Amino acid sequence: MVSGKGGVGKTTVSASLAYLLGQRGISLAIADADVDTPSLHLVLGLQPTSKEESFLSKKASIDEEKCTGCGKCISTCPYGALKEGPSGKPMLSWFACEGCGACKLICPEEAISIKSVKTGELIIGRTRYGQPMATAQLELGEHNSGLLVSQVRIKAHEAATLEGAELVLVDGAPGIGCPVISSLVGADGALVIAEPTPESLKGALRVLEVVRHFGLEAASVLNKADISDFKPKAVETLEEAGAPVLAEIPYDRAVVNALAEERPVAELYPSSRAGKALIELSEAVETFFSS
Amino acid sequence: MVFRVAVAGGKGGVGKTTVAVNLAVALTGRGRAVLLVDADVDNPNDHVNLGIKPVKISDISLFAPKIDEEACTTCGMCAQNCPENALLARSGKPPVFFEDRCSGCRICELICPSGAIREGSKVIGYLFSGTRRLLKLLGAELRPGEARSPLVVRALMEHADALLSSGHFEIVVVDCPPGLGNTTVRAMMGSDIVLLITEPTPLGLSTLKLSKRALERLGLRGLVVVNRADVSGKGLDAIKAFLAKGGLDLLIEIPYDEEAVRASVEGVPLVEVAPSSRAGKALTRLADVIDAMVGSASP
Repeated sequence: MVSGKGGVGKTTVSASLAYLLGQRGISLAIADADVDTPSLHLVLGLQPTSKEESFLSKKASIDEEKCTGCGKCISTCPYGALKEGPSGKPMLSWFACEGCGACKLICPEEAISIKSVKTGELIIGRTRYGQPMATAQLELGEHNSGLLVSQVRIKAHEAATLEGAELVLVDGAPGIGCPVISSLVGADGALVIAEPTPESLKGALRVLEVVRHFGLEAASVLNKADISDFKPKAVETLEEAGAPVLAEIPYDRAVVNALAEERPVAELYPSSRAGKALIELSEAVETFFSS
Repeated sequence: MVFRVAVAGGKGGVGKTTVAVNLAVALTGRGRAVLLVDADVDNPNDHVNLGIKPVKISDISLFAPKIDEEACTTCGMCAQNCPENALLARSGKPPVFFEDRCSGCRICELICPSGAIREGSKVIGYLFSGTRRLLKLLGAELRPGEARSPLVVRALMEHADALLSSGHFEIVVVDCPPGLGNTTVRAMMGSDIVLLITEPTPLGLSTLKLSKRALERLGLRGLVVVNRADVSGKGLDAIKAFLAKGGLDLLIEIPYDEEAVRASVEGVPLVEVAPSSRAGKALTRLADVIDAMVGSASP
């Protein structure tokens, strides 16, 4: 589940799809790949069974005793992460350091080491519907979200294999960068969520470029389909971009009301307009991706 | 001194772009010299909301090794030391280079004993700018398929700093990417205030809690803007209960307004096209508050 633009309904659609496909006897494992700001666990009622810290990131660490302040590391750092501090010795800007080790290599005093740092926390458990689920929380300012997403995805795939699940549902991150690319790895298809606004459509087209880059099947969902006159244009553009619109979900207060209860809208309000559209979507998804 | 406002909020789609664009337009309307920076490089949209067509300034490139096959002794040192495994050693032949993986760190160049790594480059995105009346927009866009958004934001913020050093601008409004990862931190650093945009749902609240911790750690001052504040009374109460614990203040509530959707589809800022709509009024009030802050910040 990807969108390019954030907040168009990936989590809302993912939660209802997970619930509905489960209800229809399809066994699935779930991965929340929005490790920056995960929230699918709230709606699916994740009960964690294990938590582990991930150390996938590296950062430079300077030994002040050994450092002579020669400044070679400052001019070598390709990311501008080292600046001269008040003492004349280098100071590391933690969020700019990529841990590449160029500074360590150039330092004549062997005063720099590269240390592993915490990237985030990996959480595994089951949803309140009994489905295995993996999620994670990225550390503030970390740049290895893609690596953390890989771990989440691998955990979900492991659970799926172990339980003979037919489907892994990955709720992606907003954007088109590292975590999104990582959430598409190993996928058979991508469902692009869009709203009928120029911003959302632009995001959808950009993420579709990435989806095609990886040669994946694509389909789309138009969420809040009736909020603007832009709908026909949106449908046409998505179809032309090779992502047939499987369902149109109307704007419906039932969605917000279900969110407030931290439940999938398709579970709480199945006969609402949005609920009905999501049920249609779950049928279409099953057909589309099983073919 | 330039007054720096970051518009952030963690969760996607809560209204960062709407707030950033309308704030910038409203402040410009009050005679302020404003630079709007679109740092959502994965999916920049400020120009869409402003209804303008931006112009490309330049490519954003990273170093990438170009292997001089004549000079290469096939020792394999570059491949052994590449932290991204972007070079693959072959016995008796120069290494194979995988451009997608390269982060431009230059370790191969540093380590190569025979000077066989020459200067090459790869494009990861581009910088663009635009103008709408007195408002100046600067932004950057990641090339689809590329993973390194943080380095695109880095280039963008450096370019913004260069523009700000001219002394022309009084206020810079930075429209941050969603999330609280590296790109967002880069876009927020140095801000005088961070507007945390949220929505009255458990998803909005959960992200607001993370944002609060983030700002505390970064030593930045945050103010909360609740967008579509009236869509859930229960959700709004939960946000207010969280804020009542202290440390973060509610600045303004923006109601759900269909005019806002229409304005975004038409590519015109709400504060101009419908200033007396419910959301338009709230956004105008927000601009008043920020304007007063800038007034009291400058000598």
